[in-house]
Amino acid sequence: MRTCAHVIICTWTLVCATVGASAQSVGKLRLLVDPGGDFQFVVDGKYRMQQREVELSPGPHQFTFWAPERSMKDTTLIVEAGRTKDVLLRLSYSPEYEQWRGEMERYRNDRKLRRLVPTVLTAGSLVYTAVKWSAYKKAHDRLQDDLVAYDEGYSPQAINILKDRTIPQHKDEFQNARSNFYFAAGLSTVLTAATVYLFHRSASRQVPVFQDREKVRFDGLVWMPGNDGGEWLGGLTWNFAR
Amino acid sequence: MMRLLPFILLLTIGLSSCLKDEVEVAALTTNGLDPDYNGPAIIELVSDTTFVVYDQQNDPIDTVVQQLIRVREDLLPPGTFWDLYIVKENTGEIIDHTEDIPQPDSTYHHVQLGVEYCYTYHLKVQYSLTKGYRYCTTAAL
Repeated sequence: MRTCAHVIICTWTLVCATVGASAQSVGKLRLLVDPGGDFQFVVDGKYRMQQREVELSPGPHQFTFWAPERSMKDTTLIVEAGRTKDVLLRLSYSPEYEQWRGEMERYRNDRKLRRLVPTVLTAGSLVYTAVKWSAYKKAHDRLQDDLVAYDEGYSPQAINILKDRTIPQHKDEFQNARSNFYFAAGLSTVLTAATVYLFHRSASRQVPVFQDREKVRFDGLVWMPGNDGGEWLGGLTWNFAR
Repeated sequence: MMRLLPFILLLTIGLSSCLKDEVEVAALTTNGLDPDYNGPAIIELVSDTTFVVYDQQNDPIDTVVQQLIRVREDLLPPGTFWDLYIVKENTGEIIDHTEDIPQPDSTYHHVQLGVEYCYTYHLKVQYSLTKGYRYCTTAAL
């Protein structure tokens, strides 16, 4: 097995040397592919490569391009001897990726709806409660000030006004402020409970996972040249849903 | 968030309970100037007397009833300026010491023995009256 590998490597080296010696008899393709640096291609159904320029023998060659999240694209490129040819190519997004992106968008929107909106509402209600607490405290302090004013009352008329008008008015304000505070506190409690519930529910929802089926197809059996002679790559798909 | 909920509940209960006390107007009766004052009497009756007034010939010309009162300034807010305001119940006369005009005599004259003569005493502070104290004296020698 090891001897066989050595024979293949030597043969490959010989082929490369021959090709290098006869530079006039090759042509070059400069690949300008969208997406920029992440694409791969297979030449003539055999050699997988990941480079921007490729030198080949003149004549038509079958190329299969692929990039993550993109669809494979099969095309035939003609190589002319002694010339460098620019190839412009755009790989469209794969239907699986488009579908996954839609699912992710829905997932994010749903998460936003279940987390961000209740959180903002709860935070708002807490601020509202704090404001109402402040008003409640002020109303309470006013009544306490009234008590001090009563103790320090300097005339019967002033005391009468305090008892007949000022204190009843401040009592009404205190009761209103207390009702408002209770409402705000109740609202905050309900919103916090709802937020906790929605967080809990959204946490159990799984994040959509992108499965690049185009990659599986692209990873079909090909020869990948490498420093140690290269390797055969194989891909196998099985639909567990069936 | 789960930990926040009980904290909010406790905070709400705590905050609302510490402000629960309210002011009861009916219970405010401790200021001596309050017309509804309910403490120790600010105007006390020290003594009352009925006596006969004689002329220079030592003939009886009048029988009068007088009361001596005391104002408890220690029960008033410090620095209170007051004047006496007296109502002679039996005659309806008012003796207001804040008025500049001459005021009636606070003594009951030509009283009949065995008849009750009453006064109601107020303090007048900044043009308004405090609680009234009513003291009666039965004319008797």
